[in-house]
Amino acid sequence: MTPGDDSPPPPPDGLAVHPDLDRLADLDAGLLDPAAAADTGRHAASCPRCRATLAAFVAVRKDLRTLAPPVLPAAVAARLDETVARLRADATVPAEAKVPPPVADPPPAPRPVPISSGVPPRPPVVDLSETREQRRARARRLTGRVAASVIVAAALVGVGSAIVQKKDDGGTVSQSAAIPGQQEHTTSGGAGGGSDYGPKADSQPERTPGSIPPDAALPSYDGSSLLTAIPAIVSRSAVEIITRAGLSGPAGALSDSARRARCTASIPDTSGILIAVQRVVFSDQISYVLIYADASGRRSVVVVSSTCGDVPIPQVLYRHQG
Amino acid sequence: MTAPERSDVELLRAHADGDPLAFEVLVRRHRDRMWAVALRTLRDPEEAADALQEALISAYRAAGSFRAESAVTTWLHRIVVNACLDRVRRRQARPTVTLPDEGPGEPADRRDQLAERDTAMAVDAALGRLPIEQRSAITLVDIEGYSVAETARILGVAEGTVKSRCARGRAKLAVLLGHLRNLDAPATVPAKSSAGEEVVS
Repeated sequence: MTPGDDSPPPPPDGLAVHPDLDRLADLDAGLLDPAAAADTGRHAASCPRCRATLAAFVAVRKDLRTLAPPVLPAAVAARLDETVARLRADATVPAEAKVPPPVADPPPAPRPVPISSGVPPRPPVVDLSETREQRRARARRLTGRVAASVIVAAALVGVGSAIVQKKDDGGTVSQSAAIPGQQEHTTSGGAGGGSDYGPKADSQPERTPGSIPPDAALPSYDGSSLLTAIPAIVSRSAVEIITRAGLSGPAGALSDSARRARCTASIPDTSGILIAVQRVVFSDQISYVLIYADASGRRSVVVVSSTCGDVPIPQVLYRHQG
Repeated sequence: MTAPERSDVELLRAHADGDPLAFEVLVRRHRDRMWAVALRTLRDPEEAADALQEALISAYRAAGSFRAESAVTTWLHRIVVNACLDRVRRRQARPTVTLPDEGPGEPADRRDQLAERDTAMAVDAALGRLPIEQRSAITLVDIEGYSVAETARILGVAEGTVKSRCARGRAKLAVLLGHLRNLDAPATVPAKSSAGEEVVS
């Protein structure tokens, strides 16, 4: 199948028909046997259409090479350091001194590779995929410092720590290791805060739709000013960028991928891929601006209430199709 | 006095022999690239972070099984990719946003107005539309620069399978990115190879 091929010119050589896209892709990838590769290559050499298709594969590879390597976020790096520190601690602390995992709801994830028979079995490590809520609660306090992460590792294995349970304002139970001398952050979720991965602004006044928190950093828009601000919003809050920045970034609570997924799934009549999210004040109400782009670069904008992702159907405050 | 830098294999064996710091050195050496592979494969930072952590735990425990039949980086990346693919298989039907099906046939007058960053986003978004098997192969071969043979070892498939996945994936990307739009005019080869620079009729 070659797109746009209504009345193709006849193949200029012995081939009965033009090679299709897949065959040319196979030629490009070195998949054809020598005889087929010779036939197809001979045809392509004298066929502008097929040469153009082969050039398209070159263009694709070039496009892929231009993708900048994603930077490992500091919060993820700290988390990996913490994991290794815990593994090390688990290997050295006697089993009876360890605190059992405080939550056991999700089943442990299957391991990608079997545990080695060449390494002595080690006690189980608290897998953060099982304790995501713990991590997020802890991340509020850690502010990304590796040193603090090591303290948490020590706390988890029982060195001067206590397990506390609390209930957040969203109604979900979370547990966290208390670190003596450290307090909960209560900073707001406006742009330019810390660099943590966990939610810390989510319980701020945006929980009350319609009320404006004392967070003057939020940009304020109405229907007309929003449209002119779209390039700026895309520039500073592309999805990958804001999720690296964590909840203190411009997307606020929607930096959390699970909540973002719930939110986007609950908004009717959207299409395209989500390219930017920003927490804003829209017509005097704390809201989220979501910007979608389709394959041709057209953008559409939806503004939803700040409860998006927390409620089955968020209030759609504004919609614009580019 | 600074000790000479140990090779990946030396570090992994030292870890298996009980060196408490060797694994951390190894991880710090390669975690940026492992992150890139995890993020490109899963396309979700939170999921990628979980998968990478899971992979590190597995690698930490499985170090003794490393037989030096491949490079340590190949072994590590295989664990990372497996962790990513396991997560994809495990996760339930998750709400996602997708590009409309009519994408490649649409007028694209505004494509040449997109900034370079938008172009990267378009490439990234198109990559996200590929089946994960094709995306993994293309990520390793075309983005991360692994050879077909190394990629086959990482993915645990035959080299021909890697080539086939790459070929199918590139064909889809060529359509999604609009590189095949102007084939109605046989004399006109895409003027520029970059998606952002392409002139679309």
